[in-house]
Amino acid sequence: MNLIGAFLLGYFATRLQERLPLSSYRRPLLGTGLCGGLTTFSTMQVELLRMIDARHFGLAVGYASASVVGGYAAIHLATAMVRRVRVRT
Amino acid sequence: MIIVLWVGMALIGGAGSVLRFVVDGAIASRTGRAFPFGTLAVNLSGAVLLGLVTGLALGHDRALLAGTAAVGSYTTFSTWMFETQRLGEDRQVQNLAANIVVSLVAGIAAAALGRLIGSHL
Repeated sequence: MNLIGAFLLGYFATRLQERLPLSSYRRPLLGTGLCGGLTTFSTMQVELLRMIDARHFGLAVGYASASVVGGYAAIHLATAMVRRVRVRT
Repeated sequence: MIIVLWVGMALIGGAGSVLRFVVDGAIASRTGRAFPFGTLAVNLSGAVLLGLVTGLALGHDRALLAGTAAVGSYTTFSTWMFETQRLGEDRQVQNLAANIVVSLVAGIAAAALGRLIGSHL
């Protein structure tokens, strides 16, 4: 869920900020509402806490790094995709 | 009942997103744009709340409404990663590293604190 949402936010936010005409409602609607609602930070923290409780330290480190690296890559990829398309005039 | 639960989740989840929008905006406008404090504040406060919900050991439906719908939609992973990636593009390596490390370490501590409080209520 988090990686899909991160990809979508990278796509929408870059496209809205750098490609489409300025709009005051699209960013909150698509970015904050859709992607923010789709992804979650708190569940990840509680899941990490449970892994630490269970002494699965390797699993916790793996989950945290995979999320961060995957999320970062998803944003990066979506940003690059949007920027490759030329600005419409 | 499942329909009622879904409608409830949609309404509560929507409210959580609006609350994030307001809190993030209020904090970001006070702290400037160098570091995404708004998202950090939202995520850390949300981690305390979800820890609290976990500690309270509610029933399935209540936990879904309070945990997944309310707190889950209030906190965000995508904006956190988006702001981190943009810090990377601006070559602000220290802020980038701080944003990841502080969010993770303080986030787990916040969830633990919330759970501790919840289990004593």
